[in-house]
Amino acid sequence: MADRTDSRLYYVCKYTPLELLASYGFSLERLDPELDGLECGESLGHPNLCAYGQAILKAVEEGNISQLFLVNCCDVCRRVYDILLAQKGLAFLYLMDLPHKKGPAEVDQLRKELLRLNAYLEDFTGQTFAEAQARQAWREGIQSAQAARPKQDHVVLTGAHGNKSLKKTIKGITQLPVLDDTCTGNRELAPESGKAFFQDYSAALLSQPSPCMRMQFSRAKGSPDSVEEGLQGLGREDPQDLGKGEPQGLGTICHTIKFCDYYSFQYKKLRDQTQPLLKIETDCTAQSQGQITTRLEAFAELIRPQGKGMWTQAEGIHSQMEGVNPPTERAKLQEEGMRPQMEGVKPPRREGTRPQAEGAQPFRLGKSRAPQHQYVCGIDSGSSSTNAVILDEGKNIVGSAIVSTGGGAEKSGQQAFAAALAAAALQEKDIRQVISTGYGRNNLQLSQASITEISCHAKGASFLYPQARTVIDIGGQDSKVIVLDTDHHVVNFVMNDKCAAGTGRFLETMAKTLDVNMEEMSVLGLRWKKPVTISSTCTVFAESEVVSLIAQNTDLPDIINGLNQSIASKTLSLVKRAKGQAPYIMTGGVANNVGVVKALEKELGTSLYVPPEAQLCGALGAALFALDQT
Amino acid sequence: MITSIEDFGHFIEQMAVDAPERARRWLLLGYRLYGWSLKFFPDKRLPRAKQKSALYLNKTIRTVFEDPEDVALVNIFMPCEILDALGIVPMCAELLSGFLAGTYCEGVFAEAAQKEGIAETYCSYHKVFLGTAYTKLLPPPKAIINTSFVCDANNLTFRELASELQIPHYYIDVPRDQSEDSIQYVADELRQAGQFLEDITGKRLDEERLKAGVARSRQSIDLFKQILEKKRDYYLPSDITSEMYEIYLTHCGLGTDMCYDYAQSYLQDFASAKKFIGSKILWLHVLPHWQKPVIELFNFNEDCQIIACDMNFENLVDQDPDKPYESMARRLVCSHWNSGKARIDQTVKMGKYLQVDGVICFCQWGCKQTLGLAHLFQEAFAEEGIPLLILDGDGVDRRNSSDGQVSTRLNAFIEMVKGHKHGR
Repeated sequence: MADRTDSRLYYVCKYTPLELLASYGFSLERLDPELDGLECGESLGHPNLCAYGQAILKAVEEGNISQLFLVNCCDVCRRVYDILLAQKGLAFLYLMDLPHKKGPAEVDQLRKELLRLNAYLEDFTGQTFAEAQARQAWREGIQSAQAARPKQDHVVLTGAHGNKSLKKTIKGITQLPVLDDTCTGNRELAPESGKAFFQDYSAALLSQPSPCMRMQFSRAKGSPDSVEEGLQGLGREDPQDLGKGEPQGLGTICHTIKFCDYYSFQYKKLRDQTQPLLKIETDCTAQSQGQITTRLEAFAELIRPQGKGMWTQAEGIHSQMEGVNPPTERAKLQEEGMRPQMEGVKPPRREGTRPQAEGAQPFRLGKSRAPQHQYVCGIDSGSSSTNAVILDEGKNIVGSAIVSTGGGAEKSGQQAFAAALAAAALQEKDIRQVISTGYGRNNLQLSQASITEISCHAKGASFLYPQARTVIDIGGQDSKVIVLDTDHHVVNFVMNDKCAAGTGRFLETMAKTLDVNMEEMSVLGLRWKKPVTISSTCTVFAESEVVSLIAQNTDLPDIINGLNQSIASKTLSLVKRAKGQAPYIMTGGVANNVGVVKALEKELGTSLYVPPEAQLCGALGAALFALDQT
Repeated sequence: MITSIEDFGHFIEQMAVDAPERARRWLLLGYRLYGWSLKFFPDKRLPRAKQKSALYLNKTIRTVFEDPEDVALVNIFMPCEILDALGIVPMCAELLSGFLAGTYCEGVFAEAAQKEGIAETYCSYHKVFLGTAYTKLLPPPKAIINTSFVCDANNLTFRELASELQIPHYYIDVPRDQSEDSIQYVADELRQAGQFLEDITGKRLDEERLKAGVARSRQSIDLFKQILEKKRDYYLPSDITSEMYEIYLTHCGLGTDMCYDYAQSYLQDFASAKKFIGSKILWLHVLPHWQKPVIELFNFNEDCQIIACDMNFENLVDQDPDKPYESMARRLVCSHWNSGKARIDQTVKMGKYLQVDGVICFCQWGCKQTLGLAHLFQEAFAEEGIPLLILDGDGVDRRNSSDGQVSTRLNAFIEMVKGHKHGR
């Protein structure tokens, strides 16, 4: 957890009362998290929290922060505060309330809030308020804000918080200084006016010239804000005005973060008023900035001052992005004659590659087909494949089949059923009960009942591996983690969100992009040499990242390993959300992918039991339920 | 040939962009016909109060299109006794967007908003609401008035609507600090809001009428508290749509005659109710009233019912009709939704009081307000031995939710809840 010896107090918002905090001896630093992945933040919060909120959670979880000051900026800041408060892991955590307007009533509201904070600080530090020090910090803050202003023509970065890496990328590509006018930047207080400190300070904080998008100005009759209707709380209407008469803003970049509500509205307004303007969206990872390079380059061409040198060599950021078509790893493999070998690779089987998990129960192939036997069938109608299992009354598997769902649930259900019957040398009339599960479970006329795949996977997994406490099932359309108690009852489960990232479909899409088949995907990643991070949580964005990596001549095994890590990371997030614990069993089609299994084992820090026919687990569970009902 | 609501919705969608006034007329005709059917052929499976709420809300939605001059756009948490005292009908995103989703035509408005640059990840209730303005389906109302409480969308949607529709807008800032100072601050803002509406309408706000409205709010709140007690023990048939209607009535409608009548009828309906022996589910946040698996599972199901939605008990706060502005302010400032911890603590307390068997935390697309608390809710209910399902979905936009995925999660959860309840 947090390193409590670190005395730095991190903050986020430009309305943070830095001068007051500094007077108590805090060493203040703006939080600027930059991440490789967000799986930790997701497991604590929700995948649809904005990336910046998740990044804060992750930074705290990793122990980089022990003291944090938040402002009631937005829903995400409030929820981050709630989550961190519940964790009780920070030495200092405070959420300051901030009015949305700036009239006398609001200045008074903030004054009271600052007094509450001051009382808290006195209590926390054991010191008394030193007004002279606070005023000194105020004066110094004004000087340093003025000193930080660009002295030459620049590009304005507005919108949501942009981290150092993003600003460095923009600066490198445009070869212009960047004025940070985002929600966390361009902090500038008015000078003291000689009134009582807290009244004066509150007014100065609220009257900053560059308000963020949450700030509002009402038009109510008699409202002191009505004279400022022109601003209408849109942040600065034209951020380029910042330097009018002085160094000019040559262009504006409006930055948004996925799932941040505010700045698409700002962009909508700026679009009609500000040129040149570029909108970019990132997710607080360095990788996401790679995807905006081309757009930034085009923007730089647009705003580049006359006579400015070419920017293509700038800090080597955008090398080999366009016009270069280097041979891909795939092509190299083909050149090296490896392709024929690849095509002969069989799907990996677990028996030979890892010891059988203790207590695991392999499928028992039935020996008898005596007519007096009672048989039941379970059919798992999944998005990619439809699987059928026929059991006799002794829970022996006498037949099974896996067919593609391509032709629709009913048709593929019939096909799987017929194939399983053929494998068991039985006829339809021999089957006492059919239970269906999976996405198409309610569309199979041949089944007498349907049960969700959660219950069926739990049942099947418990049968195969009675010790299992957590089932990890990664199928074509979704992935799920099911937590079991010692009596094999489901106590919790979580599934991936609607996005396909972390599912079999994700791997299929990436295999197509990389031009390899699924069998190759399974093993190629094991030969990785350099770590590659695929950070995007969206399949479409991840595909874009992969394309970028190919363009950069990244070795194919390294890319595939990055993809395996990405799936493992997302799955670990689900495991954490479900509070899963060992022993683990993995089921579903992706269990056949050795690379993913290895990556997941590494993430979990323990081994996974993968049954020989993991793909049949749901159908097996359905058949076991059918047996219970006969 | 229109043979279903889906066909009608598709018909509206085709007209909405190119002929919004024509789409509006057809939509109004559809709602009038629906209102007529509700009046003469009410759903007899529903108790009397729920039949009434369907009629009330149908009348409200028609007013938006029939008499926009009598309408103000508000957010769902805006205290509306001031509006009622001035004869203004409040319309919120949850009601208008919810009706459009029920009419199968929400998609065109969500797309219209996205085409204007609104983020795809924005709350769909607000996105569709904005889309009705961008397409000009929504006739400009008299005014816009909203609070900062309880989510970010309130800081964005309404000033955007004011700008787009060019109509006056008043904004009420609600502090997070739950103190008497905060109540006074908000009460002063509400007084200014009254003056704002007087200016807009040219009418005088009758203080006695306002006090009578707050008195009705107090009476209704008392009735809703009694209803919650009944819900704990007795079963009344219900459907998901009625739960959504109740959210409007307990918020924008609180203080109106129709809300008071609804609450009275509801309590009377319980007089003939039988003991509840099925699984009792507590629902957190808005409900996807259009979604087939949710309807199939919960509508008129004695075996398993959503007995309460947390939005319908977040503002059951003491009211003093002699201090109408302070009373309305108190409902905002002291709502347990005004703090994450208070919301969790009070919801768990209510879950225990209602003796629920399971809780579903619905993470509305784009709503960080609730989804950011989902895991804390889960942990808090787990401590009480009550299972909780985190269900991602969308109460409005069908494109953001899959019936199959929702069905699997819901049915698996109910299987789990029943197993839990009956000790397997």
